[in-house]
Amino acid sequence: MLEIKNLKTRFNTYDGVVKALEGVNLDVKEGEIFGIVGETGCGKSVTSYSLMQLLPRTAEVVSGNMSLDGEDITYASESRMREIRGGEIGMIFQDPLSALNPVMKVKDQISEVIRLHQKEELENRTEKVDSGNERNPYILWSLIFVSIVSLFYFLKLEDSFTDTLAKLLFWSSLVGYVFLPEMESNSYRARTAVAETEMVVESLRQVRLPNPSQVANSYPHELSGGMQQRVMIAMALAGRPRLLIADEPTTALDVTIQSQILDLLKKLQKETGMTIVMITHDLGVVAEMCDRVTVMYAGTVVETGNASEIFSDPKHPYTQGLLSALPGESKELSSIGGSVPDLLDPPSGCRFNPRCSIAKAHCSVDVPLLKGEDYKVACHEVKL
Amino acid sequence: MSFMVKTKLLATHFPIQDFFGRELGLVKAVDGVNITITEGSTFGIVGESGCGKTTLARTILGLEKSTSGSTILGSEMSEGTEETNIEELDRAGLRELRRMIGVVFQDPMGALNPRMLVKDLICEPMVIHNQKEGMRERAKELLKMVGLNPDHLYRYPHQFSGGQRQRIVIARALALEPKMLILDEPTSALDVSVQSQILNLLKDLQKKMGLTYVFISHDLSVIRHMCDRVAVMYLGKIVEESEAETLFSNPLHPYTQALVSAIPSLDPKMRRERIVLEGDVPSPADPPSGCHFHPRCPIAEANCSQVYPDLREIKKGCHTACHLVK
Amino acid sequence: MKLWLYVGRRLALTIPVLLGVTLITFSLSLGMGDPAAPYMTEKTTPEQRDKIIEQHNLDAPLPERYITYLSNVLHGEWGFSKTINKPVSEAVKIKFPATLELSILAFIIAVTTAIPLGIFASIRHNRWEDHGVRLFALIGSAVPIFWFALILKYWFAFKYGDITNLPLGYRFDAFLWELDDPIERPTGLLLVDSILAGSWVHFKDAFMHMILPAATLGYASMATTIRLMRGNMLDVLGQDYVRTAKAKGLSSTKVIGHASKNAMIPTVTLLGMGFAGLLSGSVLTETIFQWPGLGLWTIQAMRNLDVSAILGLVIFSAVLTILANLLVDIAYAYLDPRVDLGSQISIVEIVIVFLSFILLGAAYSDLSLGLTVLSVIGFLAVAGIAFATAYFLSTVREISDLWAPAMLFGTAIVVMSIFKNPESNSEIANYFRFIPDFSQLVLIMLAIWILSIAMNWSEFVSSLGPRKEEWKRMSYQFVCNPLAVFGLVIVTLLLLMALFAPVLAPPTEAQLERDPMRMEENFHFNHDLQPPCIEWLSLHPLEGCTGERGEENGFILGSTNKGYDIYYGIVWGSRTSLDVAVKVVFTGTFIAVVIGVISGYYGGRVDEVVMRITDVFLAIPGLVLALAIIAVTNDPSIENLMYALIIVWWPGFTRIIRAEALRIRKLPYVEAARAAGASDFRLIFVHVLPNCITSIIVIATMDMGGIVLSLAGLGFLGFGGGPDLAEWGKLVSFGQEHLLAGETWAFFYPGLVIALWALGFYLLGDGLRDILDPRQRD
Repeated sequence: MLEIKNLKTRFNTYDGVVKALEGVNLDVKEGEIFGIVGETGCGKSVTSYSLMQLLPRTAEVVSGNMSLDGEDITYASESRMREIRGGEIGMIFQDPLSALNPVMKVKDQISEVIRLHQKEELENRTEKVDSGNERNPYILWSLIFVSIVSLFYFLKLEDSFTDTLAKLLFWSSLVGYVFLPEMESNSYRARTAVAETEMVVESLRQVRLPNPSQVANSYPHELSGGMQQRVMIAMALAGRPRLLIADEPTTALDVTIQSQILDLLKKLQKETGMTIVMITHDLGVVAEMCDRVTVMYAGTVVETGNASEIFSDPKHPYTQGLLSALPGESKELSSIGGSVPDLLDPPSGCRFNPRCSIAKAHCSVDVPLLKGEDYKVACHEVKL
Repeated sequence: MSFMVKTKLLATHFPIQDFFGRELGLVKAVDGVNITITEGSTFGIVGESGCGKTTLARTILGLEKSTSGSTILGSEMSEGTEETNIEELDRAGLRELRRMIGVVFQDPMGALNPRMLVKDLICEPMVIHNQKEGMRERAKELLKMVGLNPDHLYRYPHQFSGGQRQRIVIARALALEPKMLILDEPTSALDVSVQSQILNLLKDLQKKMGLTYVFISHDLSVIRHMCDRVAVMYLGKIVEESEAETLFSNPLHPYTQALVSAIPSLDPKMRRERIVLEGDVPSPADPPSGCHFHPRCPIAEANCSQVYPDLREIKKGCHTACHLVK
Repeated sequence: MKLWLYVGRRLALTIPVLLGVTLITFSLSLGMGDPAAPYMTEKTTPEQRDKIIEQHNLDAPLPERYITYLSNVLHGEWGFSKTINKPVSEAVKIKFPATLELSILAFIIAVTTAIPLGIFASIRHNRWEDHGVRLFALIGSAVPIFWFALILKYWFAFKYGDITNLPLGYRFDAFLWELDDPIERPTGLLLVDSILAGSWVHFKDAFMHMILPAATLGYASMATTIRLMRGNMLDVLGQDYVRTAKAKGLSSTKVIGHASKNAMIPTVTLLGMGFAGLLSGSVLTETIFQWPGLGLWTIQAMRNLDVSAILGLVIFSAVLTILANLLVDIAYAYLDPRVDLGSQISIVEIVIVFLSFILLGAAYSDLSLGLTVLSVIGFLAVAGIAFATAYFLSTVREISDLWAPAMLFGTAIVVMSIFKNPESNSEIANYFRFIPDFSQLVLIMLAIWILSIAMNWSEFVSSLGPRKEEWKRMSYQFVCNPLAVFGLVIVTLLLLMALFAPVLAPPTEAQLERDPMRMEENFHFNHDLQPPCIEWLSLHPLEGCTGERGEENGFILGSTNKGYDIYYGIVWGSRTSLDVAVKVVFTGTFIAVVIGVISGYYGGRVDEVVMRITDVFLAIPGLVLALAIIAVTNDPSIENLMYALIIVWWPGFTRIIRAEALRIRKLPYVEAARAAGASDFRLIFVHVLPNCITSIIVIATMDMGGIVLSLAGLGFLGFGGGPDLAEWGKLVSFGQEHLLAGETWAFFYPGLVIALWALGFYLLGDGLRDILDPRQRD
């Protein structure tokens, strides 16, 4: 469903060019839960931002292809991207309190998505609306009527009081033309309001929020962390996207709430059949949730495959190091020496080679490519 | 074995005042906690946000005034004399206490004054306690001990990575050769690979220097790895306390069971049914009646909302606060 | 419901502030000679005067006088204004609508242009549009308002007056409004009244008269609002929820719309504080345009030593400011759902409000009751202070605990040394005018610093390495910012001008004898202005240039009508500016840092009290307060002006430092140090203060510019140091009389230098802020 080929993204900063992504290859199948896992600076979030064209102005996609259901969206136009964002790909973020607009009520934030991406549905549920047509002719005609009448009066009459009044009316009606689109959209809003509330409450119920109408009328800071994250999920799903990108959705939450959210996501996936891309640094979450996993390091993909395979028998030295560095039942904890490289000046060849225990001379010269069919590894020393 | 620190019914309450200054209620951040920390061990405190673990640590350190109950220092900590009550210490005594307990906080970025050189940061405790003799040499030694290059004394914190900064914080905590270290979420802000380095370092240092650790975290796998005894806190009270292995292999309290089941297992064959709790973590300003956990408890009964269960010793060394555990 | 409680609470808090203001005005009134003067008219006979004294208890002891005064104020008896020849309260009613109308129009102009511009600049962040808008805004803040007004007046009303038909001043055409076609004026706001009467002619007339003054006033507010809105938008655009909005598929217009709504909220709060600035600005604007409002009246009152008017104006402008702030507070609480409406009131607050209420009530009803309450309050205050001191002393264990009183003591010493004024001795060479005591103090501090380095020499040397790196990085960043470099260049040039004044504009023998800072009158020219000798500088067709000074003949930049050499005035004026700016900023910084740090660090009751005190001072618009102090003390010297400026300036800076100290106190590394056993003394001097320094440096730099603007404003109005002191504002005022003769050089060049000085320091301060603390922005 989603294919990313050789994606290269750069950031132009004060101190130089940060080579954030250096040839990322991903392949997400429809209906699966796909995990992207890695540590800070590995580029997992940058990948999703590149996909959605949400990169800051200082960044650019240098080369590579991204396609959604066969359609190449690497250089898609802004209007196409706006259809995709929220409508075909939904996204949820890490800290729900700061990711939700603090001065807008929940229902307003969700209804925005509905009005953008589910307009038809909205109109279907309302009678008396010409589908697709937001204009209200009555307003326009009334304005024209007032203008003509007042013009007539102030040209004709001399009495100063009615004269001024007529003048005022005339000029106000002119101002009215300026605000015509606003007035029409407000009246459209009013007519579709009932359907809108219905759909908002439905979306909140879908994420198992108790008292959905009360939540809809609240501000984000009045809700708990878990509820905020559910609101964000509801908002992302309101546009009925086929793909949901979850960028560290539970990192800022308490452990018990984390289980609730992960549980919810699994249930939603079964109910709607949507595809989920789960981005996280928490290997445990990935092991729990995901069917297939990609491990990223310093802007490159090092290993891709079935979750069970990767966790039971990791092939890439980085993945192996990562898994044995997890505190678990044994009292021994190995660690990977060194630290994540600075992407301003990354190591040449394989980016992991300075920290790799099995690195050979050629590892710092040749960049290893992702080899394999279903199970892929990018390492010179690994024979599949 | 003698104990280092013991608390008896320690409570730290913060008043909530209404509009007119009248007391509306209390935030019982720490509410009647009894723990005993033995020499040379690592005592873990686990809980989610609002459970009071950080406040507990601060009260033991004397940074927060306790409302009732007492914290008693063992003979090791009181310099050979018999046990002393922290609440009775005067300012000089408190200063001595601070010399004997080192602190490592969560955020390595914020824990170091960005305008001070590493050398000044590490030497600060020595300056405060007037042990300036051979300060610079000692600072170099400390850097070596935590695995950093001693030539980096004259650098600023922002020139180091997150993991290295945390090492500097640990070096600073060890500057005065304390007997005990309180570590509040020391690795939560770090990547997995760096976390393992720091945890290994901490274990090494403990062996070498005979330190006692109080390890606070919300990450259960880390706690399981590091700690000998573990206490689980919920809304200011301890709901279960026992040896680490026992707690993880056979948790008794329903809350602990939910926490332990939430630890993700990497072995797909081992995936068991998760216990997913209903509802949110309640606010310590308005705790539920009776057993604080009852609204979310899967096995709660009528009695649970009326009477608070005391912490009872179920088996040797295992304490639980639940009516339904026999 | 909660909102009403909040409103009520804010309202209640205004009472003590107003009370504080009356205290200030009462103290000022004590310095003003004849205590009966405020209540006398021209026709008062000696017997009537005695009666007045009896009636108002003016010969009674102070507390009684205060209560009577307070009672008078509450009952509307504000005295009699000899300038207007009406009771003060009536005069206020007459004049207020004029100022109100002007301020409202200026405010509308400012807000409707500034908010879109600010938003626009933030969207085009760091591109040339952004730099352009920022420069526009900075110029708006740097340009002296009176100079700008004169320029507008000259260009639009005079030079191109035939095309624009804009009048030269005043509020309306008297012929039209009073003789030919008078209309009802129910509200006093001419625009509104014209609409109500349905008369386009009147409306147009009133509007034409209002445009120029409103544009002037508006420009200054516009400038601050642009920077505010831009800064807030940049903050908001960096927030996570903007990214979420984009991820929902919203168009960029919609996203900006959302961001603007969020950014408006903090902007609204600070707009309220700008209202006080509007009132100050209107004093200057109304003078130039002869606008019959409160501002013009203030100046007239100052000149006539019209005590009651001055004090009444202080109270009234304070009331206006407090109301504006109240409205803004409420608007903020209403707009931002996150504001905690129910946060607890502290004991101090309750006590202060309660006592103020009682005092007011008592003073209103009965004199002796008021006296009793006052003595109770006095007793409580004294007891409170004694108790607090005793408590404080009981907590002192070691020397380092006395850091707070020590700091206060040290500040007192610094302040005294700065203002110790040996009689100016003209035999000392001009170069060393600054050396007396203030410089000695600086030398001492320098010596201490060098000594401390010498004692830890090896330490110092080894720490040089990384510090050099830091400096290199900062200089590089600074150099990359063209505006900052520009500011630095301007500032350096101006400072050099001040330093080399004797060389650039050599004083004559006579001047050296008196005081080179005083300009010399050259009577030869019979009170005619002389244009500059260089044609292109004269802005006016050259009429010939005669004279004995300057380049070849005549004056380089022309002269004023008294024969003052403008060039000389500008060069030596830089010394005046430097002198005043350095002393005021230095003193003010000391006071603000000490009080701010103590208040912010300790928090609690000390903090509350300090905040209330600063509230009282901040309630009175700066210029008004400064003028009142100067008028009351009737001391025309420049030192007096400096004292006035310090009193006006310290509260604002203090609050900023307090906020910084409060923020830093909560940071983890301060906690960590405390956990290691550090004493308060150490925490403040090693951790809190050094981290406040960036703010201090940035604000002090920018205020070097601001102080000179205030100095020039006061000089323009004729205050400070006598008419012949070389001061830029004064020069501008000399020039304004000849505006209509087209002799523009007289006001233009001095004003230009003021603007350059302010602009230079603002740019420099901005640049410093960017390199020292990239977290903060414009």
